[in-house]
Amino acid sequence: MALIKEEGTLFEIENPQKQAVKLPPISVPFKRPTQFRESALGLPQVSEIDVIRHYTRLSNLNYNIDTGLYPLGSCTMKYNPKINDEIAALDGFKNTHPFQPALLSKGALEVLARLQELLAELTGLPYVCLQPAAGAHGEFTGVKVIRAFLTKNGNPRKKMLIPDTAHGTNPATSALCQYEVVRVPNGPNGYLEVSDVEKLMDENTAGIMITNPNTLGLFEKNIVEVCKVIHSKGGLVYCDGANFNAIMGWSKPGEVGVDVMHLNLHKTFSTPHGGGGPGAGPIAVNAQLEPFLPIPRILKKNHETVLSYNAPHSIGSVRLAYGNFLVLLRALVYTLTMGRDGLKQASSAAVLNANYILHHLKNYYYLPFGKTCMHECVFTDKKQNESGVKTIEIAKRLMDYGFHPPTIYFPLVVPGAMMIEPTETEPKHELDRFIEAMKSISIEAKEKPALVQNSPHTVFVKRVDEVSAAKKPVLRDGKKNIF
Amino acid sequence: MRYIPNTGQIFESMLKEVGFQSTEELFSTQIPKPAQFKGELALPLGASELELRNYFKNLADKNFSNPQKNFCGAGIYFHYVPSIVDNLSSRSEYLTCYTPYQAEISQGTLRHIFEFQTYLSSLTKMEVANASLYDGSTAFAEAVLMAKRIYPQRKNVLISKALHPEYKKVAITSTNQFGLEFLEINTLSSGKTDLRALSTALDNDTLAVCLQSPNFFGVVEDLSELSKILKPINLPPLSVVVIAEAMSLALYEPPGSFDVDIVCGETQSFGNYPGFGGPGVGFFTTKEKYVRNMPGRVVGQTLDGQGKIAFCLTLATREQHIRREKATSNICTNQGWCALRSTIYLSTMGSTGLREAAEICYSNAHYAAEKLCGVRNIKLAFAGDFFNEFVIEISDLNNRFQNALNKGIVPGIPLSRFGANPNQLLVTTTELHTKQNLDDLVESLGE
Repeated sequence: MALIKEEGTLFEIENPQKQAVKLPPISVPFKRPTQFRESALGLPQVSEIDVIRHYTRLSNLNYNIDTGLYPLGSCTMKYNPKINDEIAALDGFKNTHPFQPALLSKGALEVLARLQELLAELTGLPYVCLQPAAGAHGEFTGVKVIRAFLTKNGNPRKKMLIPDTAHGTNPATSALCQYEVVRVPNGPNGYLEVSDVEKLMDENTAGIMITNPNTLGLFEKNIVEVCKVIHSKGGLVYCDGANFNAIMGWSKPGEVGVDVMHLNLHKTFSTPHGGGGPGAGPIAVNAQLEPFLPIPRILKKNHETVLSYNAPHSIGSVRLAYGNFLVLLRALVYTLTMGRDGLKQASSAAVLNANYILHHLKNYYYLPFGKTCMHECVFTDKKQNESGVKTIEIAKRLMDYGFHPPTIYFPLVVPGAMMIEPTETEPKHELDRFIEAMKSISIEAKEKPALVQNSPHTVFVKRVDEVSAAKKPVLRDGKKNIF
Repeated sequence: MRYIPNTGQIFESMLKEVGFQSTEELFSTQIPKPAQFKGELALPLGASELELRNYFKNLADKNFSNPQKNFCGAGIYFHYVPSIVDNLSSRSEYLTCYTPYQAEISQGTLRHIFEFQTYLSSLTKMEVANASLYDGSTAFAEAVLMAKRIYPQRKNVLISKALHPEYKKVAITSTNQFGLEFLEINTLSSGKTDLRALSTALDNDTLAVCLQSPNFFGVVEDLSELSKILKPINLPPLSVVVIAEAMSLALYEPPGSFDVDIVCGETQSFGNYPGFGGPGVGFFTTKEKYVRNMPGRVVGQTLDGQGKIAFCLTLATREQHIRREKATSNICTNQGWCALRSTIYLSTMGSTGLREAAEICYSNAHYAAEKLCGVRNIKLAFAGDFFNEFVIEISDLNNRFQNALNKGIVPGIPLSRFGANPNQLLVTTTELHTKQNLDDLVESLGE
């Protein structure tokens, strides 16, 4: 615990005499280029204890999973097992070079091949590429694969259907892949309706990007029929697997009609979010799309794992080497720790935990869709609006109760949305505390709205002014002016 | 299951409280029958920590992982990682938090990203830096995409033949849906890009000119010459300089001193392990005037309700969760934790330490190159100045490479891997190598 609540910058305490590192003396004749850098590097000169104190104090300003419930909807903030990090720190993995001979990297290649197999089984899509570095990167790779497939069949087509309940990355990805985005409204109950898809799908549309379960926390109940409609017009179905944590062992997208999907290993497969990365967003595809996967492919041949570059129809590469290997490794450790029994149980408990919250809060907050949900539930601030209290204020007030707020104002189709995803790793007593906090806030909103509106009160940093930050951006420390 | 606390009776009682007799009943309210998976997953049962430790130790031992006997580079480098980088970065407060959407309880993350931006601005001498991107290769692809946003009507990208072939491949894969034309500019006998040829190839349809320095062959490019070529042009194409070995920034005048528009690349060298190629840290810097065209997350300084300095994510109106299909890119994360490692590393090294490490790299590489050139049938492939990697030509490379492997040394990367001359070997040295390591390398490639 840091008792000091204000931490300056390292530039304020730097001194040219200080040094936090000692390098060995040069053991060969000293040489330097004839023209070397004259401008300052601009790094602070401090001692080791200064660095330790600085980053330890800064760390104390962060909320994190190890201290409490982190109910960010669609982010799957589950516990990150420590054994994953221990394995990823083994010398034999972290000090392996991607371009050393494959014969000297057999263990690393085996890790990749094994993970591919397990993800194929879970998704029902037999061909996996581990190269994408994050979910959005997986989407991009998947849509490029779709584009390549359609191009080879004569026409890449012009449009892509995107339900309103999709993640924001889906339309951005489609646009990046040169598809015109066609919005599909969700039906009155929050589901994608077959008739809407039928109306919009045509032979100039590449397909559809479906987030399933969707961002309302609902499993698309018409998914099988929707896939048929898309396929009947020669299109392909992309599934955004960011919410895969809800369905492991309960539904296989490949068997439902999905042609290609990505998984977020930093969500469902427990690798640490790290303050926003590194992630990993592998994609899985069916047989017709396999020829288009990025290279190198990692293949099993006679019990040997080999790298294959022989793929004339491949879209190319989306990242250097083989992807975020140390993240992929952590996900493999997790998958083997959980096994077939544990993964299915994880989805069961994740869905039950979300329904438990939904059940206990539905009389306090407005529930726009559904009576039950998958792994997350979406409420709004409609009831609290009556006393002038808004979602953002409820979110900030939760901090006073010791909780990270849920995802707010998303999905965009739900005004004032609060999207709550507890995950399976939350014990019941933590859920109960969270429920009590949310109930209290709903009462405060009615009786003492100003208390909620001016929150947070107990957090060291008060409401941060995001508007001014964007008007006149200050993106680096002005104390060190090297220009 | 030890990661799932609500099991057995707790689970059953919660289920009843919510109104269901069984998990199947709960799931069937959501998943329609035809979409349900009825079988059993063909995966092993969950394993214990002890079993997994053995399994993975065994796999790890199958990999060659001795940095002092490994001379591979090409965008991924073995450098010294101070002990405190591992220690501080492994704190749960950094490892188990998410994107700092809620600024009031994420100041730790926001502060270290702001420091990362500050350090990268300083090191490259560029006005603005973002919060990091996936890796160097995707950062380069984003640079081409940004140039395309600025010049939507133009089609041509001039790209040096000495730019990392995998970076180039990623950029082509990421942009070919726009019908861009990548025109390759050859290298001279010095190993530098032929800037005269580049100058000739320039026309009104060129949207970007792209170099890497030090380039893929290790040779340092002439960036002042590049700026002279572009200066007289009205509405010049964007100049993009890739830095794949960030350590070189400590020793050479940075691209920002030569009026370059975008400097991007990889900072894995700063505090991150090679890790079989990932995760790394892509960085992206540009001029202030382009800030609203820049891809990726950015942290800005502002004030909190008490008037104290505070930080938050900013310029979000470029981003996908708000702009959807009109966003500057589909990216919604950075490489937060790896960027943190780079930031702690740079704070630890300081200007002096970083300069010293770069000088050792340079001295080691030049010592090794000189000694290698004394071996029969080995010569330097290029005449230009290099930083910490260089290409040698060996007439019977295959044999000698195999001999070195037999002696327990990986002497570099045969460039045939990247489709180049089969007699060429890219050799990389860093401050991790002692004189003895370098002498062993030279000996291992002898006849």
